[in-house]
Amino acid sequence: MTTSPLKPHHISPRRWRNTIAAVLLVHVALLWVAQSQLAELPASDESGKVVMADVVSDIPNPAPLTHAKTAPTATPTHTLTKSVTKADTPALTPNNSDTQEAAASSAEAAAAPSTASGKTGSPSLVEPSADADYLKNPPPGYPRISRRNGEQGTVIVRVFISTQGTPEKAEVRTSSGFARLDQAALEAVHRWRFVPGRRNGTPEAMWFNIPVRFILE
Amino acid sequence: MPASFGFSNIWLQGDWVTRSILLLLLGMSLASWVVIFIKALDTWRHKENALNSEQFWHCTSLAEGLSVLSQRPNNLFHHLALTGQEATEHHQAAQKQLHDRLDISDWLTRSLRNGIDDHTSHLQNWLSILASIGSTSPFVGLFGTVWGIYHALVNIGTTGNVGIDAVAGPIGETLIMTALGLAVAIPAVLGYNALVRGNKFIIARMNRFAHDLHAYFVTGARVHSSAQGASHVV
Repeated sequence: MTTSPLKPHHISPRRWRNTIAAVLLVHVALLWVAQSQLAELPASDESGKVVMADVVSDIPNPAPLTHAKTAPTATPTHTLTKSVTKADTPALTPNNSDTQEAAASSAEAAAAPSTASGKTGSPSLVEPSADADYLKNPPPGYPRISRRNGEQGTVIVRVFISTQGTPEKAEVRTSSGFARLDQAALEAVHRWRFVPGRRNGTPEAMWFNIPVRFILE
Repeated sequence: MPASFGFSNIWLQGDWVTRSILLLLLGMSLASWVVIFIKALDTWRHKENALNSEQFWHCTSLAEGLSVLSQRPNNLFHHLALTGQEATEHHQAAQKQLHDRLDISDWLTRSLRNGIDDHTSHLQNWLSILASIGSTSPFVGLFGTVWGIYHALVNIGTTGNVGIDAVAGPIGETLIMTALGLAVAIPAVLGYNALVRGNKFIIARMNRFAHDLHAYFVTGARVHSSAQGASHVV
């Protein structure tokens, strides 16, 4: 890199390029870090009993798409079919609203499999559940913008839960009407772990509907 | 990840004024850091060359001295020595021009002075950008904050929502812009001061070297300055 002595102040284009690229990279990295740090700030006002998404259970009824109202056969069919859900959503109240538990779980209502109701039609079908204590499923945070704009609603997220209890796929089945809330619910559900559903005692991958309610108080 | 907080939120919520302010601050920050890095390396090199210029006088001939100086890239002192040599040769060779009426001393002084002035102006390239960014970016950030607070308050006024969330959230967010403005300004100001100080050192050394060159070319011997070796800028 012998530059002519008569141009001692010359800065090669390559040096400009490298410097600009390096500075740009560092800026992008810093912005990204700042963004993720800010995003992960434990917003103190979300820890109170102010606003929490609410999880209630919804009972899917896995039935082959034959439109037949017959109960599904007891033979484990591993072909996954679209679950025709009954539209009864027993809104369960948070089961620990009065206890001294951490606020993080206070909004987590029991997504109890209401198999006792006998509506499922299959005698040994156990729904997946997301409310066991060891799962530590955090409720979705209420998006700040949504809260400011007063957006409320219920998102029904349709999750495909593997036999390991991990959410394989998740989609918005019924939108709350606000994309932001839908997205927040989807992301929260994606992070959850579930007790896999069982058919005749053996874990089986199945679809499961989780209503997530965003209610401002 | 749609954070309910942070830069993305400001960006998504902001109007075009907020967004252009954010972009302007980002551009300012990029520009100031690029200039700082480019100039810092240059200044460091010139300082090294300045300290090395003493080697020139330990050589036995002008040609050898020039070759020693030319071994370092972008050497201002090599350039100055060449300027002096050319001026001397030119003065000796040309007999038909106005500057023949000048004696060699004045002619050399003029040539070296011109060389130093050129280098000085080059050394100060880009520094005005740093100075401008350092002095204006806090105001740019402040403008963004004031704009954001104004809109937040108007929003509160229209919706009638006076919850702490409605007040603290938006106003707290817009304060990030002031923070960003300061984060852009502080490195720019510090970098500017450091570079100006480095330039002063280099210019002082160039002046000293030019004085010695002048003495050498006019009298054939270097005047032994008492300040030699002391690096204090007088």
